[in-house]
Amino acid sequence: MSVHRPNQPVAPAPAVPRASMWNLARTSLAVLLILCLPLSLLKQIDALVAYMRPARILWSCAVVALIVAAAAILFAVVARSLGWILARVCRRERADALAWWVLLTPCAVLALWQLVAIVRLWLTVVTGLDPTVSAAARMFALVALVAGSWVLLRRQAWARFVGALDGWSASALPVVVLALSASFAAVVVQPPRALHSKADVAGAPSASGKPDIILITIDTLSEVDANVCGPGPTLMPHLREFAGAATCFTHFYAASNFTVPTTSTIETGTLPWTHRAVQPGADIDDAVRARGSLAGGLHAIGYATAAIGDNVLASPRHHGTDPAYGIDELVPSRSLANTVANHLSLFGDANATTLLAPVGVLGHALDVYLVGERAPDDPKTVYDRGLDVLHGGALSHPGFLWLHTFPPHAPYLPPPSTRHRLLAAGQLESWRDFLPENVRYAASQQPLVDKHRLRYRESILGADEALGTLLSRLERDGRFADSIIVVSSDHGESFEKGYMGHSGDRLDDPLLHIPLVVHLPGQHERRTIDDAVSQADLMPTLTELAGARPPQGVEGRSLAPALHGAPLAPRMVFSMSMERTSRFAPLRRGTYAVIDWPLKLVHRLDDGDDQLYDLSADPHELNDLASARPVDRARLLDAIRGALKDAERRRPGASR
Amino acid sequence: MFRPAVIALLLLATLPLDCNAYIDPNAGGILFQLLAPLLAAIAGVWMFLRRWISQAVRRLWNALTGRSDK
Repeated sequence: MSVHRPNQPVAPAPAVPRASMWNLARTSLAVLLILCLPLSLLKQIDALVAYMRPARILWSCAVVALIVAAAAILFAVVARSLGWILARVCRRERADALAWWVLLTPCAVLALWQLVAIVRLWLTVVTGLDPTVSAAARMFALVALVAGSWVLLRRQAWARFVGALDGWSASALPVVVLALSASFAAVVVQPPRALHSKADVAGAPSASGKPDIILITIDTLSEVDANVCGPGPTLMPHLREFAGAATCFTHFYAASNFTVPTTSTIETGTLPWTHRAVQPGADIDDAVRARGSLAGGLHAIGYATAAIGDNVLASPRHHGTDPAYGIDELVPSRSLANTVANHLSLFGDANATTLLAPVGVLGHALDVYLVGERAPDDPKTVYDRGLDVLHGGALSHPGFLWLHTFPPHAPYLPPPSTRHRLLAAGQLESWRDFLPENVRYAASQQPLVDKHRLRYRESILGADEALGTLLSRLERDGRFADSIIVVSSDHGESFEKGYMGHSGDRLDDPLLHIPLVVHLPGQHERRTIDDAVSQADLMPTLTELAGARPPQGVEGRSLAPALHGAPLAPRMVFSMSMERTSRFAPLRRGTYAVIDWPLKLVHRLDDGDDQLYDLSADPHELNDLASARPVDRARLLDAIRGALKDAERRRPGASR
Repeated sequence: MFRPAVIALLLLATLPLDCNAYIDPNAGGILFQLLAPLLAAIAGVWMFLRRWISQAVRRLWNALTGRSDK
């Protein structure tokens, strides 16, 4: 701290640099482009190289740099406008200082947030320490940062800080200009898919005899909890009523344990070890996409196609299959993080959602408070938009409409109509009351996790109400009888064995066992199929029902004959968790499960551990039979190893 | 006046990474573990030794060209 001595001349107080449009834009560009974007890239570099080649990473950075530049200029325009207005009511210096504050506070919060998160991540992976605090403390940190900058604003330190930053941004200008020029050139050479034309929305007249296909996937819906097709009470009475005129599959298994790989399997009919969309940010492998997708195949035979959802990870934009859809929308969300992700998903081929993930994480910290007690996403929004598209003529006949809805996904905030049916009021009412998503928990926390499960089940009840309304409207509008209507999920949810949520490396039954109900045109009676079937079967089934042939390389089989009453030959069903597996490296990691009903073997490649269960006698998978039944274990292990070998052979670039 | 910012940074340092559902499990891999300290070291050296480096470069340049600072 400097002390003024009487015999020294008094230095003039530093002035805040002029808040001109140029100064503001130059500074925000420098902070966001030179600081924030590289920090984001650094934090996720290992994830990105698992599914993107270096050239694509660079191109993605170029696209994202232009998005960031647009945001920086928008910040500058807002700050300059405010400064201009304030200059009319207060001194110019004061107006300039406030304009800089408006510009720099969000930039500083973002940069500091990332910087500290990076330091923490590095310390966590290197030392193994993983300190956590409550959402309240995080919110306090945010408020303290903003308040701290406000305190600075009232001191000379603000003038010095802004002056230094302004000077730094001026010296960094050549770097910014170079980066933006290179980015612009990269985008001109290879424009993002968002700039390409979409598929024709109109169905072909020659295909007018074909049925409409409506595929409804409800996120995170475990059959273990919902019990749609099994005996006993259900949490989804409307769906069970719908199943009275449909085919119910009692043993339908997801291909993986979170949204990206499972919805990619629905779209391609291939398993995650083939389509390789196995990380949250990953898209479907180019070679698999080139062979065809569900929407692409239907569009080729005259279907108009539309996908409407509220989860970016289930979106065709994220998978890279969006060119096959005439309509591809994500409905508005109350969540700040989801809103940002939904908009960035327009540049899904540039992985913008992942590269700008820190913005989403910051939004998530705010969401916990802003969203409050109401769920951030409402299935009715998706269903209403779907009905608009269907009845408003935007999707002509024959049409394929895929609707994906978030609830009962966490946060488990059921609507008022189903809340407190299973868990009394006064606990787990607001987002901030819940444990973080997808976490391991201690045995002592099981009673609390059980309460989470009750709220989850109330969310299932809420999702069923919304589904019931949709199905009633389809029936009333005459769409029910003549359409193929499929209701399913992407994956389930775990509340046991020390893990709450989904993703991760577990492949327990609550994570994989999901409902599947298929209604065919003119079907009036219920049919039940007890054979184990795979999520990969959905694509070839719908393709065949529409009158087309599935593309080559599909790993699922068509269930169309079974839907018409033919017996189904027994077949093994595979599921897997491969989040740490690079698509460019040999298959040496991950957890793989094979179900040869009623036996299920789970094999971990990382440590060679095997677990064998008899699902009919032990549905909760408590009794490991790996030692007691070595012959079955060896047979199923051979099946996994053989399938892995085949998958490795198909991997582009694999040595044969 | 910096106390609020210091407190905020300390709290941010304990930011739970698992608060978001889909933090990529590959985050924090080998590349990150190598690059993060390397970049931090470069940034630190540049921040604290910038003046010394520029003086050293200038002295070297002057020695090579035979010119001297005025």
